[in-house]
Amino acid sequence: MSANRLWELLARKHNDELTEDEQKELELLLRQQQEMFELNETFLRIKELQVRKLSSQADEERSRQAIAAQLGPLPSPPRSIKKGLWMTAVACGLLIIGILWWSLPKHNNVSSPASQNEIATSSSKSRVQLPDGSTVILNKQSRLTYNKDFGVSKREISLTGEAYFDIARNESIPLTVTAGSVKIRVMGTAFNVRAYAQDSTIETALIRGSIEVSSADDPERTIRMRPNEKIIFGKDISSLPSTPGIKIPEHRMPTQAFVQMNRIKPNPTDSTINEIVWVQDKLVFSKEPFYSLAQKMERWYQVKIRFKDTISQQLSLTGSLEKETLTEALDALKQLTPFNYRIDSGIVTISKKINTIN
Amino acid sequence: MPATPSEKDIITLFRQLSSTPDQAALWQLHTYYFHRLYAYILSLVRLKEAAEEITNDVFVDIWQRRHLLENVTMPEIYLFVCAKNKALRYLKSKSLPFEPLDKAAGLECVLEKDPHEMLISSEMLKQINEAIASLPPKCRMIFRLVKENNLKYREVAELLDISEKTVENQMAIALKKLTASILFKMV
Repeated sequence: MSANRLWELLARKHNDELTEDEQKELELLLRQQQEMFELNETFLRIKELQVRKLSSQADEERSRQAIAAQLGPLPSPPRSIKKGLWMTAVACGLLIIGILWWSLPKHNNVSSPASQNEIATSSSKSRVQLPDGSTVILNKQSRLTYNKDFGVSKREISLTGEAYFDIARNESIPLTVTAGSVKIRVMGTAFNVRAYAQDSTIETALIRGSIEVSSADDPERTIRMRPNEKIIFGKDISSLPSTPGIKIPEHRMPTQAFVQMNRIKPNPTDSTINEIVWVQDKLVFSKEPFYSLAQKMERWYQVKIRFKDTISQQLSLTGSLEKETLTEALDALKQLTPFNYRIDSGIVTISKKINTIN
Repeated sequence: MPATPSEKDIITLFRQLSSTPDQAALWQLHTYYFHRLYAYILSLVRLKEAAEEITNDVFVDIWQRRHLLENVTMPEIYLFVCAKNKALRYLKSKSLPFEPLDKAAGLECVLEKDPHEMLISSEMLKQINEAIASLPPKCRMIFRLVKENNLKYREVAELLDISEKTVENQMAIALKKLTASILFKMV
């Protein structure tokens, strides 16, 4: 046997280029000598190793910005406001921040001592520029606090509600986001956190970069996330606030605290990501199946949408939503493509249009 | 470290780019390929600033000519050939020669393990990396390109303007030395 032949075959195997015949030949060679087994084991370990990058995440970020600047006025992701609207949006954001600045201390919130800045939204979204250059888009009914000297000595953010973070990289000042019992350590990245007090789960979706997530239940155990992963922590049901008059919908009832890791799947029709669709200022869809649009609308309107039948799921819808309320939107949609809907404690139920019944 | 996408994933991203003006697909490609294309381009032009600019240029080009991406069947090699052409144009404009294998002399290749990987000790890793550092530059360059990018021998051969057989031989030499560095009693 030729020693070189063995290495050629192993090299091919390393690169997953073995044909079936070569695979058999390799197995035969490995069986001839006992020590070959050990060799093969070692070889397989080398196969698991990764090449260290020559460029850093900061290089990647710089590249992204340089490319974005050459593509035109849209900074992305997330896909953002058109140029004309940009200034208005910033102005609105500042206005909201300004108003909150005045109004919030009066709420005498215990969790907001003088050493913290606080930003909260009620019925509209808000874009927040943090002192270190990071951008946060805060969804409706959400609250964000960060330390006063943010970016100087430390970067600590806490969140209730939902926010999309695009964090400036700074290795010397680590950044943490605390949302309920979940703590996220950030390395310079973009991700979405959904942690409404009334929800039974806390969701973190990583769009790019890398973050480490841990839960107060088990702070020792950190989970390193990769891009396009989503992690869902189930809350202990007893920790949910009982809001008078609002029943927790049954489908949101967790049986017990849990952790679940999912892949984020971009929408096949237009590659948007459902987890961050709320960040956009306009929801545009063209010949989109209702079940797929429903996922986006759930984020957009912060409701749950259920289908009674498969026929209504498959309806194809075209249009755009901007300032419409949920009922306005549904009424407009059903003008073009008939269906029935019912809204009951935060759940929209869609069913096909049947003329004979009712 | 971004998970390695399958060829099918990349073809899907190419289709998305060609059919809709959605930047999300472009940024996804950027996440997958920025570091790899940069390393490859750096091996050709050797200057960090130039490599960075050319890498950005590849993505801008992909975006501007996204309508051409619809029928690309081998997207990875498409990206690398695009990178190579741009790097060559740069070298030509500066009247520098295209000598990929000699240029590789300055390019390091260090392997690292996944934090969850238990089977390889730090000591073992250190030995492997010492072995890589002692490989001839040409061998190391081919090893890096193959290992980092999962490119087929045929594709690496085309990128480097060498024969497929040379790629195969060099990979065999590299793996033999690396394995030997751990099991010195062998070979």
